[in-house]
Amino acid sequence: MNDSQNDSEPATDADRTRRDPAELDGHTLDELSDYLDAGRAPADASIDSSPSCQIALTSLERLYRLSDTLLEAQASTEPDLDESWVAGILHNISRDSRAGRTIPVTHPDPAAELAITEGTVRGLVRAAGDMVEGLLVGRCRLDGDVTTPGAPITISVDASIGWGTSIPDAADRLREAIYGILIRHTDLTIAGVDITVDDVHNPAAKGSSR
Amino acid sequence: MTTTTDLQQEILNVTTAIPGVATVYPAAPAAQTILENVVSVITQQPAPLPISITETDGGIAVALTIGAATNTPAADLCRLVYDTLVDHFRQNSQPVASIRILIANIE
Repeated sequence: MNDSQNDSEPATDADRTRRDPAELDGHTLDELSDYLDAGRAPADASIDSSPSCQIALTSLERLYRLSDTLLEAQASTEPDLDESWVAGILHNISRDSRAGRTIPVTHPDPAAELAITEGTVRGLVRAAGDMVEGLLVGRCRLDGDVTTPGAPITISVDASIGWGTSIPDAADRLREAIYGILIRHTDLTIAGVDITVDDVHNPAAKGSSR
Repeated sequence: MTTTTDLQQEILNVTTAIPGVATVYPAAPAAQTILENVVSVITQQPAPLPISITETDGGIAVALTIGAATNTPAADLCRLVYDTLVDHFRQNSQPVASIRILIANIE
């Protein structure tokens, strides 16, 4: 959220990503944000029929819910929500919502070509973050050959955590939630879930425990 | 005689009736789909259906992209959609070369 940025200032990667229509089936994250603000009305078929846009919209809604909570909490303590933090999350949402690689779903019939997109799986990892109070998933990466059934995959996640929340406890809960959701929805062989807490945000977010 | 459009509609009906299938997304890229929808409004012809069917020597090759409901395990749903379509084609003596099902969102 850096619309007031001076024109002479060099654009960041996050700014470029938000305005690059190649990222999300011809739409930018700014356009999707405006669409969300307008209550998804009037309906835009090019957005509504795009899985990548739908994943990005879900992630934006999640971010805005948290941002609202943060802004309310910070109103009495700090002047501004850190814009670089929000911009970083937006950058990750845009990148992670793309379809990416095709992850096979096994079936004994050779005529079956079944798969889930990598973008869908990254969306699941973000959704797992919702299950952990005081935590927001930033970047998510699937390391390994996801296109080969049975190949071991490591999930690497960067997360922001509420001030005062126990990092080891939250990381354990996130790891458990990611394992659970991926085992439920995919055939991936999860070798590990690496979680890096790279930021701390206001304690009130998502009702974090202290 | 069954036309491709009839078959597409048939597959769409069978697929959307499966519990856990939330959406069937257009098989074509978004920009092309929008253009086709605009043309259909102008020409007052039905919009193209979101199912790709190709005739091959071994039977039809079907491709569809779906969104899964969050309360249904996606991989299991993918297999269920495949099995349901195979059963449907078998009952209708329709030879099938391949069925490609891609889950592009869990909503």
